[in-house]
Amino acid sequence: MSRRDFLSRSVKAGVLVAAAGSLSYWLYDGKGPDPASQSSGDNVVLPDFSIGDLGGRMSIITGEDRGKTVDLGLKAIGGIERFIRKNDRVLIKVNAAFATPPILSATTNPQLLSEVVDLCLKAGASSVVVTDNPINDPQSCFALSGIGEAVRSAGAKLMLPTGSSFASTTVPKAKLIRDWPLLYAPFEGVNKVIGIAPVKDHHRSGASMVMKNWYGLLGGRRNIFHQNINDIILELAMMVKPTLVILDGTTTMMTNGPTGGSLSDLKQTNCMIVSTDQVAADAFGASLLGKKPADLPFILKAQDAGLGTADYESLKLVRERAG
Amino acid sequence: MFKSVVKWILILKEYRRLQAEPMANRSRKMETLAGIAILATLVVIAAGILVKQSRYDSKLFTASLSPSDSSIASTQKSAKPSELQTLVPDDLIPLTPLETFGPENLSDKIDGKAELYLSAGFRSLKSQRFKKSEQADSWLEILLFDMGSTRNAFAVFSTQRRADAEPVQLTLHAYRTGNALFFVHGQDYVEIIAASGDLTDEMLAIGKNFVNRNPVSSEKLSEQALFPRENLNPGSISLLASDAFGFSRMNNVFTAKYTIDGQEMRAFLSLRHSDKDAQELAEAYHRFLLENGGSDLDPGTNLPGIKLVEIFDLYELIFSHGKALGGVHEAESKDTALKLGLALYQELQKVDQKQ
Amino acid sequence: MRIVTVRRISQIFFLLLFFWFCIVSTFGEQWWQLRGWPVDWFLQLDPLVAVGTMLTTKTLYAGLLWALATVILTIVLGRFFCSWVCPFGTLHHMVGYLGKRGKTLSRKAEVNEYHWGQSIKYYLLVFLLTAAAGALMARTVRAAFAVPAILWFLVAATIVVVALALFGLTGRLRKTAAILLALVGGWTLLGLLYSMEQLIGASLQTGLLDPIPLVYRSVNLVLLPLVDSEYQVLSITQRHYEGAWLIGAIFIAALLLNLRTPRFYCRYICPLGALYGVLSRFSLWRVGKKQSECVQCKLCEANCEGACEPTNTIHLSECVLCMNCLDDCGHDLMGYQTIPSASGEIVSPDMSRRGFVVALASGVLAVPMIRLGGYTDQNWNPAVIRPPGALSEADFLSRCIKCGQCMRVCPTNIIQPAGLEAGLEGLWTPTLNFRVGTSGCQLNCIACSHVCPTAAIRPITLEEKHGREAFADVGPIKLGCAFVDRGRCLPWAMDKPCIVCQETCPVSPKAIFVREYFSTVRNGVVEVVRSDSETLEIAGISFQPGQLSTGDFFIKLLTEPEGKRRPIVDNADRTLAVDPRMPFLKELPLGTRVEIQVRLQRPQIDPKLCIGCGVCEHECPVSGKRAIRVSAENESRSKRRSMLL
Repeated sequence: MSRRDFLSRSVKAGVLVAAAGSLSYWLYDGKGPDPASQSSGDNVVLPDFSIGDLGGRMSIITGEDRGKTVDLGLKAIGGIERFIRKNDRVLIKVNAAFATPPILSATTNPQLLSEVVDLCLKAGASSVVVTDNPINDPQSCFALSGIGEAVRSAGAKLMLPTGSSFASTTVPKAKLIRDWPLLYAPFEGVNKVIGIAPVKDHHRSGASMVMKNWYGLLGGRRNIFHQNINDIILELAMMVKPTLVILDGTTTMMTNGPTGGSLSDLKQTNCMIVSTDQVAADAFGASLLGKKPADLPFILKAQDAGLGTADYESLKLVRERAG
Repeated sequence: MFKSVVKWILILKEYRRLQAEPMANRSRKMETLAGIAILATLVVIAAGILVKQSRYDSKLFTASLSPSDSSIASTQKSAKPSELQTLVPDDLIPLTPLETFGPENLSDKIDGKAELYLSAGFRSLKSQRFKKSEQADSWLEILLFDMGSTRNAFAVFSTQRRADAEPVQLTLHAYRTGNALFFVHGQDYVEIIAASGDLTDEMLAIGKNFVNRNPVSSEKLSEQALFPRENLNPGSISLLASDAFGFSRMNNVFTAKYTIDGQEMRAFLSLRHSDKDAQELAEAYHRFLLENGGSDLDPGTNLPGIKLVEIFDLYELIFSHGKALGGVHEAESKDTALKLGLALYQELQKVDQKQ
Repeated sequence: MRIVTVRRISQIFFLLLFFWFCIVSTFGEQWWQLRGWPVDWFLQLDPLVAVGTMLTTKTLYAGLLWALATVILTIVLGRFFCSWVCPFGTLHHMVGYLGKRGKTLSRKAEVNEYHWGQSIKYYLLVFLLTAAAGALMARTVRAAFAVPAILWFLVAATIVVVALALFGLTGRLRKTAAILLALVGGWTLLGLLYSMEQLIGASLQTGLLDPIPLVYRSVNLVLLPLVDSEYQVLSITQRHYEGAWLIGAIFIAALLLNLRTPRFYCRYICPLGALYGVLSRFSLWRVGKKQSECVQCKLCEANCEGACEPTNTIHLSECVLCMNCLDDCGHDLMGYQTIPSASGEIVSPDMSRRGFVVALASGVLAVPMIRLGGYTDQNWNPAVIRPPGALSEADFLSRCIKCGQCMRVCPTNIIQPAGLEAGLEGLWTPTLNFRVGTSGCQLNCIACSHVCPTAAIRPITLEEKHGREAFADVGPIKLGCAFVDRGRCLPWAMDKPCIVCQETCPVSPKAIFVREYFSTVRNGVVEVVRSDSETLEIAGISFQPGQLSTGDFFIKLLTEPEGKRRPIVDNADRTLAVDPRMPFLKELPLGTRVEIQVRLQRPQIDPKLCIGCGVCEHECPVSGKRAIRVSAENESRSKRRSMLL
């Protein structure tokens, strides 16, 4: 009796010892934590959303009515159907950085956004998501800029940034965007990305157009990158390769950007630019601000990095007037 | 290690023997056996700890100014030997990497002394430490100062000459002390300083290597030859690069110490650009002395242009001769000042005659 | 030889060994200094440290493998560690012995009766391990959801258990099933509703009550500095540790409680003892009675250390193998044997299900609740500067066992135990205080990183610390950045020359540079009464003789160009003497205004070069709130806190 008891106990003890031993062996780490380790671990990388086989296309449509000009603009580069197919899941990155009214042109125009959402849904997209990580408080930004309402009425979905919307990213070959929080949640399941931004003067970088628009996808204490503004814009263009960009030069903020604040900062330039090449779009946008691409170092840096061309005339360029 | 194995074998033997013993005794014996086994384990632990304490990575403990030896060894194998390393004999290996300093960070290396070098036209310093490969505490440091000209190098060499300097046959201007070697070669001033006294041979070898590898035509410091040899303290010729005797305009002044009639004084000599400059400087210095509390005295000679000033109980003699400004500094009596001054004057005259 | 004698020898051996390790933990190469002495050995033997760090980091770090030896011996032999090895246990044993002297036999036996409070340590163990396991549990849930197969399996299992609970099982089994269901189901539901990793964290708090870190802390940070204060052998200056009073008070309280009940801490509080109690249930040899009948004299219980009541049913998980009962029993009825005690044994610890669940839930909830304070996130405290080599905060807190070894070994005594600055979790974790101690963090010292048993401060090389060779493109390890407080700094705010910080900055090129600035002294615009080429007599303020002769004072004529200032070499009451190398060429008319200026070299920091070593803060002559202070911005262990790109 006691023999059996002892034996059963020995076996159990033996099993416990073996378990302890194997657990120790499995988890053994002789080296210790390495310098670069962070507890977050997995980095995400955004895929390339551009449509490769189309070649560089750009259209510049002059006119006052944003709905009309963007419509013509998309038609001129092949029609929305060339870019958005049935059941596509589209993400539109707008500029909702400030809680200012649309009339001050510091944020993406709501009518323009409505029209684009409409066109996407008509082209058969199964969902359209609109997002941004604003500088001011998100709720007020989307509300006061009119973008929130436009999204709702057009039938798209608004994704506000929350604590869990961010994931760590490292842009390959980048020096600044390494292990940095990216607004990743809206990208889940998405296969087409459109950036829509107004043409604005910017105190630090000279201009804020479609390439700088992606700044709103960064989280964390991103202000630190202002110390090296041209390189960060370059790396933003490296990070996001969109399907389309729409640069709204209808009302350009000529001075006191990026917040502006007075109607006297604005000039009616009546240009809508639709492009597959974000560098070309910005290069043309510079001219609306009375600047040349050479005045904006990030444009040439992006061109040198092979992200597009500043010479927009060399693309399949269409210029039209809206009637 | 072996001892504990033996212990365990003995314990096992004892255990087997006990299996045969009757019950009551057995438990007592078992207890003792267990006790001994445990004590044996404690001994093994203590031994293990004593062994462990002697095996440690000493790199972690040396308040080293330098990277660890092993990484030095690897850089040694992979990297080029530094310029200074090519000078050292084979039994010396680098202890620290080559360090270079310019005028802006010279003080990081030599702190307050930097002033001396900077005012003498310092250009760059290369320094590196070497040690004997077997003995870690036998090391030396080579400091190679590029002063831009022989004159400048001589200036810093001479003003820092140590009291226990022993002349050494290496270059025209070289001396050694118990643990160091100092010399001027070309436009460089070189110091080799050892941590202990047993590296003299190595230091001299390094010096010789340096001299042989860098053939230079030394700028002759002609002023040196002009000093009268009689009563001259050997090895006392110095070059004051600037601010000699507290007067800012006195630069490029050679001085030499003399002992006459038991009194010590210095003769000085400076070659200026032109006769006029020499004369002007002499006058300016004369004025400077008077302004600072000196009073003119009759020099006691009819030779033109010689001034004698008494200031704070010491005597200064000043004159100019041709391009040379000369004189005597801090002599204790008028007569000795005059004597030395005249001797110097004579030497200068001799030069004139030769030309 | 009696086994009790051997036990006593063992206790004294390990206690002396422990004290020796504490004594030699001074940085240096002498035989009585650190050398290669394995001073962390007791911490490495401690399985609670190993298990705790395994839960929080999912690794078993290097030296902690020693704990496996302790675990295996415990599984086979029982709770030997408590009465044969543990230095804290030995101290309790000794004080308890003193407390028992003079008491009657019945009183001694009474005080050693099993007490319900002995189950508290098990709840503490559960609480601490759960708090450490939080992240792991969250990960498991997330993994379960990520893989559809597992999810379906869980759902199926749940349905089966529900069915069984309702229809099949009865009684206790049903109850158990129901509770298990509640736990698993609740957890799963929580996992569905919340993204768990956001909510839960892992926090290693075992160090608070684990006796080995506790005794290391108490001896190293309280006892030794007190003992050494007279002879200063271990440290040439008096060592100071912030908050040592609390550590000491807890230590003394724990020891004094032994006068009331022997081994109070071991029986009621010690989570390590609890862990041993759980591990020892299958031990091959156990203490017990050889036969059931005995005269019940209670001699065996008079000196029972573990309060396990060997006379009757022995509480096996409480027995610490002190062997006193074997020795004391007059009839030789107690033995250490392979068969269970003849009068029965209780193997499991006395934990109620309810208590277990409460402890578990508290452990799970405690960490996120504490982290609401944001101390590891946005509300991080810039005054908390961690030692060089420390991991980023969340990782650090999941490894630090608050043993105080880094504080003990730091040659300049600047590593201090934190109070609540780093949050509740950060209590007694190392933080740097540059006002205390003999200097800042020495440039060539990496002692703390090599003495940390869990790699909360991971071992670094000098190359890594200086940013040389392989680490040249990463740069040096920065603890933070120094900031000049211009409202307090002497040259900035008080017109007093001082460049102590710049002089003592140890990096090359220096991270502190100065900008020259001339400031007219107070009432420093004066009128000339008399002048000659080198002296001025002034009207206006008067000075102490020699006050202006430090080389920092200058005279500026208002008529002369900005750059021209004459150094003042000496002064009397109202007479100033300028440097004879810059005499006044003309006599100054009566009433000429001159300015007496002081040359100030105002320090500025170059944040690219500053490594936050704190030498400047330590040397700053403004000795209360220093005029230059290091704070944790720009520390290299945490990229989020960098100020620069």
